[in-house]
Amino acid sequence: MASYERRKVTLKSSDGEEFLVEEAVAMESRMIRYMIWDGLAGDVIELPGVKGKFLSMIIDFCKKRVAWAAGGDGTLEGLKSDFVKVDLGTLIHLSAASFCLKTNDLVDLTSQTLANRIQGKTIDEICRALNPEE
Amino acid sequence: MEGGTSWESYYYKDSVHHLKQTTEGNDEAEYDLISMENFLPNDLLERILSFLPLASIFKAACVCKRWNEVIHSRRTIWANRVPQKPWYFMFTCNDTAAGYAYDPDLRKWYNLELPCIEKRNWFISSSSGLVCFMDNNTRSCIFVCNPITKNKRKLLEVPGVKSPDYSALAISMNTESSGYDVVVVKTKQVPEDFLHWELSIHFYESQRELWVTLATEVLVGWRGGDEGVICKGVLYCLIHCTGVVGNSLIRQGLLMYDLTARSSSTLMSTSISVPCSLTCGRLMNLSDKLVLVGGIAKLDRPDIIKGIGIWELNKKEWREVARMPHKYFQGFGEFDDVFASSGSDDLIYIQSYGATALLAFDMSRRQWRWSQKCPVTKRFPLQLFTGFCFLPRPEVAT
Repeated sequence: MASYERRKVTLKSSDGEEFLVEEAVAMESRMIRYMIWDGLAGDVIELPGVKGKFLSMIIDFCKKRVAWAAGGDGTLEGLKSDFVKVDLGTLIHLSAASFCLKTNDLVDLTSQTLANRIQGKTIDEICRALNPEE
Repeated sequence: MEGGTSWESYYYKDSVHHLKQTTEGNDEAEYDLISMENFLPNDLLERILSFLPLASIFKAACVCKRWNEVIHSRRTIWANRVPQKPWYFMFTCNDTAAGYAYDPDLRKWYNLELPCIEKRNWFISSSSGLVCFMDNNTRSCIFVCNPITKNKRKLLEVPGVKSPDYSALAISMNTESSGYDVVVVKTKQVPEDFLHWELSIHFYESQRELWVTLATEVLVGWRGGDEGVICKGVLYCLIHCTGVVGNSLIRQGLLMYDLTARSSSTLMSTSISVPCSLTCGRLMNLSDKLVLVGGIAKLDRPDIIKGIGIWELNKKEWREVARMPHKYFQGFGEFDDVFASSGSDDLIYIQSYGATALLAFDMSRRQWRWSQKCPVTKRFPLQLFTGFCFLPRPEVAT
């Protein structure tokens, strides 16, 4: 087993939350992968574009996906559909975070899901969803 | 019509394609920074919107200014899409050019506001996403536009006689030059002579922005009409017999004029007959094939039709493609000899002037299908409906 699969790295969100993850999981993000390959990543990788709440969800998905790829239970479709079972606001944030992290399949998944959600709404509804009353 | 239950219902409101402000009060308020959609960078927003079907994209353009800008400036939203089937625009108001466009993919009607055209009696021709409109009154206003993006261009006035008796309009997208060609065929009766009609062909190339008169000929016993189409660089026009003849003679013919070769031989010498006497003969370019749709007139009663036929021209020979099955014929209710029919790509639309029922014939599958019911119903006996077919191609510009 290659050494990088055992190594762990800490991902730090924009609001200071830290997540210790296996490098294999972290490398699901192309951005992090290239940083590591180019030797630009230390033990702690800062991600100023992603909040902890959403980073946590993405990391969770990546962990499950790595486990599934290694011969775990369940289906990839199932993992994906669970990932997007969230409200519109969260979905937007997840999409933006995936885009930032360059987890491309999550970008496609969230984009397609957002498009599907948009399609069913009126313009009023979508505007209200995008501009929640504070 | 209840509003607010789906994207499509937005189109039943009066205004379309205007930006909808979301904050109450100040009309000029820009999108405020607490908006969640601001978390989406433009590239990501473009990606999301590119998953939307074509019709939804125009509604998305009304959500806010930024979405509008992304949609109208980013070509990739239009690229790599499955080409949409041709839409049919139906005029639903007698006096204006208001109406609805039918999308056969989603089977929905949209309240579409057409640019340039003021009255529905204008001459109309469409090709590959562009539509050409010419006013019926003076025939001096002629526009080419994209009905979806509203991109438009006014052309120079057509040369030739000032008040022709008949005019035919045809536009064709020129794929080599990525411009377009427009042809206007004018027909004017020689004064006090029922047999002699002067026909002139005027040609416009978008690249040169100039009109050229290609041919002028006096036809004897025949006249031009209002039906013309360009197919693979050849202009086809229906001509009508003006002499007094027995019922056995076919009363229409087809002129064929090669716009590139521009031969000097007479127009009549290269003309051919049509399969039978027709009412409401319509010519259309379906995937570069010339197709004729017409009501098959009864021999003894040319104003009554016994069916509607579709023919394809193959090397100067007509081949019957289909006849409208009787059950669809009956589905129109009272079927006058006058009906509207228009087509593009592989689809032919047929509607009776007296009703909003719309029938489509798929040339490749040889299938007939009614459209979804039009949101407008006939309100009074003299209300007439007509329309035309066009391809929704937002990436095409004039």
